[in-house]
Amino acid sequence: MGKLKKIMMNWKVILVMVAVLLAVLAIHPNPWAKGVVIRSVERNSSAFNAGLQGASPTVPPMSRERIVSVNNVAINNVEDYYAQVDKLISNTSLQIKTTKDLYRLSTTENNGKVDLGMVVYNAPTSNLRKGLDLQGGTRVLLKPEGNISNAEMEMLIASMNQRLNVYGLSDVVIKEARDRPSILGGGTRYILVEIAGSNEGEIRDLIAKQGKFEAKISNSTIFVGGKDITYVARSADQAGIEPGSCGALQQGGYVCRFRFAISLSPDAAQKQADRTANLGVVVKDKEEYLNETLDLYLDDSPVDTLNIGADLKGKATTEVAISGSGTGATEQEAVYNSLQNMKRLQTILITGSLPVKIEVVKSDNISPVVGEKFLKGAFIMGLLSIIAVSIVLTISYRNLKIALPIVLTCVLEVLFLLGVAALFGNSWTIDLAAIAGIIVAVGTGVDDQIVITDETMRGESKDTYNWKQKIKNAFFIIMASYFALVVAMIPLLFAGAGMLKGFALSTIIGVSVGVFITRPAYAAVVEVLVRES
Amino acid sequence: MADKIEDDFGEETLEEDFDSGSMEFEESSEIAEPKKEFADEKKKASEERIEKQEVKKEETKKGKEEKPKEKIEKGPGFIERLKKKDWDSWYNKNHTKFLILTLGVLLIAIGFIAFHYFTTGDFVDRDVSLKGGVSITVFKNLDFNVGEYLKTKYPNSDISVRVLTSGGTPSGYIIESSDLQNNDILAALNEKTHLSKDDYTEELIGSTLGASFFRQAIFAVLIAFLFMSIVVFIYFRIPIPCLAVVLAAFSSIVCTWAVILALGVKLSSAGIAAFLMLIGYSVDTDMLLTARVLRRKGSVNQAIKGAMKTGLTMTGAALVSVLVAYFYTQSGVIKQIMLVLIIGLLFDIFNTWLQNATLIKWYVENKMKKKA
Repeated sequence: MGKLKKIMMNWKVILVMVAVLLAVLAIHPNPWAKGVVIRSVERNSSAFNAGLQGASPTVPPMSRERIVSVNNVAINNVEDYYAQVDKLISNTSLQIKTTKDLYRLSTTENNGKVDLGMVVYNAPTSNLRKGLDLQGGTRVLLKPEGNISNAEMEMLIASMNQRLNVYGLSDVVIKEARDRPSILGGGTRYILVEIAGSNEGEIRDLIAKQGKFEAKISNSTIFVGGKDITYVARSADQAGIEPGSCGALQQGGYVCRFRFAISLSPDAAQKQADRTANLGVVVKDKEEYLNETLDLYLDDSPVDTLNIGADLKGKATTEVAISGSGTGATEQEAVYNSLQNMKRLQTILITGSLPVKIEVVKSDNISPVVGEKFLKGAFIMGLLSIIAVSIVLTISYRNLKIALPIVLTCVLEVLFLLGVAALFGNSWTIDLAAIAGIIVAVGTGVDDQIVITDETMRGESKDTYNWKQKIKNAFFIIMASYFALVVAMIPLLFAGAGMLKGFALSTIIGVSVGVFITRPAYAAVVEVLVRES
Repeated sequence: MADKIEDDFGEETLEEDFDSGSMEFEESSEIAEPKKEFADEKKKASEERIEKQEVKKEETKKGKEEKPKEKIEKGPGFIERLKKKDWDSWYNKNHTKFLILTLGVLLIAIGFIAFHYFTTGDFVDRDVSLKGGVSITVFKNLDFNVGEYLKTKYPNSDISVRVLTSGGTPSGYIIESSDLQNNDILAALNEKTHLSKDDYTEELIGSTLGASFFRQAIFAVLIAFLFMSIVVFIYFRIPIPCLAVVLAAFSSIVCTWAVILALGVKLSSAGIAAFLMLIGYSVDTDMLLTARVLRRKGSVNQAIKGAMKTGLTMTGAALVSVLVAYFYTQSGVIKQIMLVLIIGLLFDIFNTWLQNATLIKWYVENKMKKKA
């Protein structure tokens, strides 16, 4: 046991131990975590009005606000939450307790069902931020048309962020991606949008559409989305499905109509007054209307046509009702799609159009189920690899005392890397690329440790001077392959709009940690184990 | 130099003095004596065996593990021959043939790739992530032949279906098409079975983007290779050994590329990342070999043998973990990465210990001849 003590007292080993300890603290694992975390809150819903908010993506997962009980019934997971919500009756009040506060909500009805307006997910079990590959979601790569300046790019990203937030999503990451480093001219500019947990293609439509909304009376624009619209109704009494509007279509399926109220700015209202002042009056369905219609266009394609009541002639009215429709195979689907279309239109009217046209060049819709399966698989795979490598090492060295420290060092290295990932979670999410990078780092680590072991075990020599030389020789080879691998990864940091950037980064960080921290500690361990025998 | 007796790569009883030498690779002033160790006794028997081995080598071209030791026919006195200096004489007689073999394989690989290029216009088969299209990955067993079904539904479209299996039964499908919309594929599938949104993952890549990814990824591989070569030259500074290292890495990558092509694998961006990982791993073993040989105090063969033990352990450990991952994983992405690595690591063993070893042996012995 004298050797073990000596190992433990070596400063390099202590450093690694401390690092691993800090890593475990950073990861903060708690597989028994209970409750649910809020992913998004719908505007003007019961939850929104009570002050509940979606978790911000920059807060570490274990520190996010968690719902622990609804009306004093403990909530352990997503199923519990929805079970409780299903039991609620409309127009009553309820209590929601979270890790931060106690909230009082009053329920409202939304098409016959009580909906608090929150989307939740199970409480995280560690601080590791799972990338889209592991938790499911939508990833869209967009290309703005033409060359846009830095200022325009910033504005574009800000508008998109706003749109998604208004839509109700807060767990959104939008960043610029280029495919060549700035020093070489920058290459093409792309925008990468990642929305966790939402497997909806509709999001893709929401952010890709420039969203140019115009209302015209025979080709003369009266008002546009954004600045001309001061208020868009979203509460249930002023926005929703037009009662009785759902009906079957001739060719099969159903259609429903929605409507919501908007307020125009005084300028826009005046424009409407001026334009309608000279129009004639016609009679349709026993009602009097002006002889021209208000045509609504979204991105230059007509969305709807409204008849203008005759009493509005020449009047600067600020209240306008917007309507539209949605279809589906069943009536329920038609209602759902209609509401989705309404939501999208409302968002566009509120936020206005994006400064430039953008095009979707790549989009991924990733199912969350995959991610879960994959993680479980990854654990077992890791375990099997450890066993397999241990066997190879034992065969090669015929000495378990050598094989085990190598394997142990690798395990510690993985823990440390995960800790770093948890700490820098905002920039380093764990996805397939990160896992591949960790695999490379560990593989290189095993190789390096074998080099150290062989270099020090070949030949007997008890002289300290020779020992130092041996370690020096070993590290020469290790550093050479380290630099070769790092430079091989550098081009990947810039290629392909950053698609492989995550992999390159994980690999570089992984092998660097290995070479500068774990490797020297291992060398110290070997010194104690082998040198004195 | 005293006789060296080894039992199965165990402890060497030879005393080796290390001098303080810096990390510059000058030639060792102590001349090893390869020639003096050659004994005439079993020469003829060795020659016969060598001819048999030639035939064997021709048959096991594409990246099978080749430890020279295993090529020796198991005739009488096998263990003794292994232990005595005859391994040295056998190796000295045959190492050139190994080199020619590896160069031959490399030429075949290049020829195959060129042939593919001239007949199809492309260096590699690309999947949708590198040429544009849609990719839908379904995560459950659908109990019917998805590939056939979709091809009869859309006979004029480019559709490819890969089946992921778990223990023999299908567990998922990777459906790719460069000209259909993902809704078309989903609608067709929904006619036969019910798919909920959680059962699949869809990816859509514009063709301009796909093509540009591909160009950039290939460019990245070339740049990475260049940078890596520069690092090797900076470290060792002597041109010929460095060239040998770069050549071995190059051979491994090109041969792996040819095999991937021959297997009809559709390369994805992950596959290209795997090639970059391969650059790192192959250079590792080559640099180990070079460092050990240039720095040796004993004979070249001794240094090579020692380096081989370390190198094979390294590649062996990497290979088993990659094999485990390949057979266990359900992810198409990881599977392709692992496949590239498996083939690459096998070629690395082939090229490092047969090609690079011979070249560096030549270089060292040539230098010694000049000094003598």
